[in-house]
Amino acid sequence: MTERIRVQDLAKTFLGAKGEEIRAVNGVSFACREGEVFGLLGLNGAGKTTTLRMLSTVLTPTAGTALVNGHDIASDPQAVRESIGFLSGTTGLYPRLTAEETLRFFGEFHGLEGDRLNSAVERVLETFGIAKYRTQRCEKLSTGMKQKVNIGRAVVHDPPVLILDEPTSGLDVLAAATTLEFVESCRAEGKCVLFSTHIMSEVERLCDRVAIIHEGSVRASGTMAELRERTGQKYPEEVFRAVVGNVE
Amino acid sequence: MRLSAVRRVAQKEILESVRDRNFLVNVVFLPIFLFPLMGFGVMQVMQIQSGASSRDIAELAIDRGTPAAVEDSLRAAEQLRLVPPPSSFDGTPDGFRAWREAEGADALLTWTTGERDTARLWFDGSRERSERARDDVAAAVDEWRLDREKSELVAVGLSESDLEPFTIESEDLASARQRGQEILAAVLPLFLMMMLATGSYYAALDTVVGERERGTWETILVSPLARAEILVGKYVFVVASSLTSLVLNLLSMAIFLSFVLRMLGDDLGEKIQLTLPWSAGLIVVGVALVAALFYAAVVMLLASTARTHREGQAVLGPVYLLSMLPGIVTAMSQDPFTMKQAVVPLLNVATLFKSVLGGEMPLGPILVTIAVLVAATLIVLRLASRAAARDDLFVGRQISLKELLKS
Repeated sequence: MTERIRVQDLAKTFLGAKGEEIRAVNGVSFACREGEVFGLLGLNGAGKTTTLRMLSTVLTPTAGTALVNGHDIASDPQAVRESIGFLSGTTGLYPRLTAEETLRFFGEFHGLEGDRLNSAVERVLETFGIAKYRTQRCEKLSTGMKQKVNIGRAVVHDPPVLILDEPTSGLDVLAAATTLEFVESCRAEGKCVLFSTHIMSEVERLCDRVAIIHEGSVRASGTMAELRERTGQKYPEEVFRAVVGNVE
Repeated sequence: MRLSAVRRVAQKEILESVRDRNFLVNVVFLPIFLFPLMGFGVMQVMQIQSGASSRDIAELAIDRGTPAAVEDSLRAAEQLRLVPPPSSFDGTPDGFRAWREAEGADALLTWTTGERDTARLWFDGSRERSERARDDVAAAVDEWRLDREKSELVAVGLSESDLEPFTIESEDLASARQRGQEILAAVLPLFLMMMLATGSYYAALDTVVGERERGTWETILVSPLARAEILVGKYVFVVASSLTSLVLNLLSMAIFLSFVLRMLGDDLGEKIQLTLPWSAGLIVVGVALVAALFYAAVVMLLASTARTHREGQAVLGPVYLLSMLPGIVTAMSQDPFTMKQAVVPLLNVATLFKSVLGGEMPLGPILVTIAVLVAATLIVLRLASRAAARDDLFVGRQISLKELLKS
């Protein structure tokens, strides 16, 4: 299978409010292939979001390299963004745009025009069952509908790579289920999905391979079966604890 | 940079804004209805005042020693009623106050005859009716004195014209258009500055701070648009908003003033003509465009330091008020438009507006103003583009203006 994401020694240092250096990501390396859901597992503040933001070119790495769909995140960020669909718990929707307008604008941002744009928008509206709400403003939609529009916004250009940062965070049960079903459908379509979470049931259900990230570094990676064998633990929570240790 | 991408970002901003009630009220409706509302308010106050004045008759008591001619003149005054004088008055302020409070009258005229008559008017300057009574008394006494002087002149064999050996006649050389220009020059600069600021302020708050507050920065940053395309699209929107506010306000004022002049009759229309030469109009529009470019760059740069609307208002509020200061200073100043003013951004705009609207178009200061504004805009845009390269401008903590300028 083709490698879609390759991350090599990626690091990010921020300046704190008092000018002090905060090392959020410290030499992270991993690779993801097409048709695979790769889980990035870690506690809050472990460096998952910073890593994914660097891969989506929102943040610039301090050190290291990464290729997304063959494009370097530092030298060709626009080509990287053309190849990815990005969704996180914090990517908001424009409240005063309708569901259809949102899809159209983001389709246009990705270079879709005319019939290609129309068919892409219709495909997303049908796939996610939001055609009925196409003229409703996003601010008026339910949480579940908003999430569907947001997913639609991320995939309207049919990207080969999906980067999902805790996409079920803050969602109700039904909206979270929609998101997980969507991830499964992406794998079935042969897309590469990089998925960060700290919810173990999602890892069990979705991830073909995981990397456990802690304090900015990857502490272990492999399939869940490999990690179980390596740690001698049965349940994912115990596997995780065995890798990162007891954290207060 | 792709112009089509810039256009799409600007379109998105415009579509969102026209659906925002707050934006519509401040950027569209306020400029349109400001003058009609102000005019309506002033007319209402004037009507109330004139109505109150016509109902409010001032009460004046006059001494028995007052000459009959003065008394007749006062009796004929429309807004005055003569009431009986106090039975006893000690001629002191306290005595007058006590009588006024007891009788409810407004003024008292005492008249002492002798070698030299002395008319003394007791009134209360803090009361409008009392003031009116004073004016009526002054007019009646002046008229009586003039008549007396004339008759005394005639009695000694002189003519009335000896009282006024010469007359003063004045000729106003200002044309109706010049008078109109003077009015426009006095009123317009402040409103033009206000509208430029209003349009930019609300647009920048929505497109920069609102984006951060709604969590949509990340959504648009992960699209294939270049950061510069996003920022320029937003910049175009802020400039367009500023100019929209300004143009709507100008149109509203033009319609309102022509309506008022028509209402006030033909006489005033002959005296005041509110028209501008094409050259002046073009200069005002051109400089307004450059000023909008400058102002939009400044407010966008400042707005980028705020995370919430509240923080945005705290940052932009003082700038909004400060930007109107040149308009106020210019309205009060009679100084001509010189090179000194032309090098100070915003003061140069307000002064230029006043000068050009007043019919003066000094080429040097106008060109310097445009050059200064263009240079200042380029500097601010350069700072903004350097700041836009910072990661934490879009996601993360709030950064101060100092940090932003250091980047």
